[in-house]
Amino acid sequence: MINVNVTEKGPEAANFELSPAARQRLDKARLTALRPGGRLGFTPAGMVIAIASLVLLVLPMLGLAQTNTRLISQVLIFVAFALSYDLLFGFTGIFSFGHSLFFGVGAYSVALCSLNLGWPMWAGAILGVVLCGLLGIFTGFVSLRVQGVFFAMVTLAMATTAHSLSGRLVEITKGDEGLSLIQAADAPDSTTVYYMALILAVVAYFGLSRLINSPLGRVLVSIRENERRAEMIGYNVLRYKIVALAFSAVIAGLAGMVFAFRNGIVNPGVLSTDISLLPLLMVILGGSGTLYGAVLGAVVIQSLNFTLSSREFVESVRGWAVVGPILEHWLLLLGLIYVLIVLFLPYGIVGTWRLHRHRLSGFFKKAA
Amino acid sequence: MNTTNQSNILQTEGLSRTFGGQVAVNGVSLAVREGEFKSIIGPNGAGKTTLFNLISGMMPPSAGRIIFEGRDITGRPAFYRSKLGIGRSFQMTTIFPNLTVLENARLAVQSREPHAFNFWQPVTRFGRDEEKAFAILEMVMLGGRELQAAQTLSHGDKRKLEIGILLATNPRLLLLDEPTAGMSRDDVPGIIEVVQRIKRAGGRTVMLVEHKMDMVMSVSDSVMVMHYGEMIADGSPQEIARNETVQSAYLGGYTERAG
Repeated sequence: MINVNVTEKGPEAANFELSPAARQRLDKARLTALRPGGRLGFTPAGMVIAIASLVLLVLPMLGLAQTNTRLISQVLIFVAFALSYDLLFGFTGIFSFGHSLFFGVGAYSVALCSLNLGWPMWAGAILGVVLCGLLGIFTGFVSLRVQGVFFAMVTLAMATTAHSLSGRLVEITKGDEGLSLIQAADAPDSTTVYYMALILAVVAYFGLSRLINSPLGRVLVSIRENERRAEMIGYNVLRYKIVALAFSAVIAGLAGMVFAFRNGIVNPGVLSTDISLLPLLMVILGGSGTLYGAVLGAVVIQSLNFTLSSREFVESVRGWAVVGPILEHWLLLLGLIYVLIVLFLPYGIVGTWRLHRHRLSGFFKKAA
Repeated sequence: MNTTNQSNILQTEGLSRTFGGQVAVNGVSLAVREGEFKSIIGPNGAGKTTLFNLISGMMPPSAGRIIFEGRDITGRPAFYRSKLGIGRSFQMTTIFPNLTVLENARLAVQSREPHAFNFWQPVTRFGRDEEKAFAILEMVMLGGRELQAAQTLSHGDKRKLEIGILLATNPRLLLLDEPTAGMSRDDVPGIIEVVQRIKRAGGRTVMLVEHKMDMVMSVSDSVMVMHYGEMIADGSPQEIARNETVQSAYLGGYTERAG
């Protein structure tokens, strides 16, 4: 019954000799369960996203109205932002409430360097990336020692501080009026912004897909699963969390930069709690810890935002009794959607799909 | 086995821990020889788990020193002690529930590798980790369950997995905290078998907290008895079984209950 090699050669030899049966199981597993993605190295979700990216790549060449270019850019920016949040929340199990800190610092660093220091945009962008990375490490170092809600509170406090600073330091940031990037000579046009956003989103998705399947990424998942066990097998949990936060901060900062280019203006709104809440909401709606859940959540929330806050929609529902006044206010609706998700889709779209897919696929087979 | 000449792998000096006014561990000075299998027994609340928490670095001691392989590790963090070679299992099974059994063991193997910080290459590139994990899972009798989610294992198998995780880090000193706690009668022999295998394979020092006296008496080289946070006896299983203080503090109650 028991089939192992317990030799008298000491622990090393006893541990790591593989019996023929185990060797066979391992070889089989390597062809199936252990193989990441299919033959092309793409998971089904990765495939869909790769195709969607190619479509988005050629779309402007086929002629795209400027409003639509700007619209898609915004969706893509938030796809990258939500992905950066998923690395923390969905994979490492860190609950941050102040992710706007990195988004805003990214946005402000290009604007401030360009307008106040006269630097070219790319120089400001590089500084912004470095700044966000360091800020991620710093934030992690001072606050990741506390866990769960306490960490969320510390990040909220930091983002709120940055938010009020950006509003008060009028001489540097022009306060609520904001910094206009449109005056800058090298401000990118809407098509360039579109491609920046597309590249950012695609690189964020496939880069993070790689990261989460790497040894480091698996350690992050183990921390989410059981922090104590991860520590007790010798992982310096704090250091790994800081690394995750730094990666996340850099991507969030880049998203903030493209957001600044897209809007042509940077005001304290980029550091607001609203911005912190959006990626959380997107990741929860889509399903955390999957990456494509974050993509889905960002696309759904941003599309809803555009549709439901568009003038056509608001005007068409104005006359409706009872629901009209609610539908007129996008944020009110967003709150309602959020409550409904938490109540009925606690695992998000992707998680719910995974739970019920066997039942659904059976249903479709019967129907067919 | 001649153990008198072997050096101590672990030593504590006046180790104490208080919680508020409550003294959980009170001035424990113990020595564990390299390769020894030492059990710690004592009634519930005697401070056995707290002692393990202090040795493994889960909490700092209120007083005293911990010396592992001649090195003072008193103020060192838990992950560092794990790296030095102290592996610890918990009374409440502590594994990665949503990951596969294989991934649980693989992560433990990986923790000793320099590529643990690699964030670009897929884990499948480091196939040796998978092989080691497979071999260890076989040793703890979980062969064939590698691709199952860890949470779908029975309680007994989760326990074996936890011990497997420890073995995968190739520890010099294993701290096993009640490996048979809360286990159904059918699962107990499997765990005892795994513990005996560790002992047979040799090369490791084991400290075991356990209430199952037959298991303690059969596998231990020495037994230490704790009572109200203090070490009241330390000796061979035979000496402990004969010790009158121990009889009145602990064993008496147990033989009655077992009978």
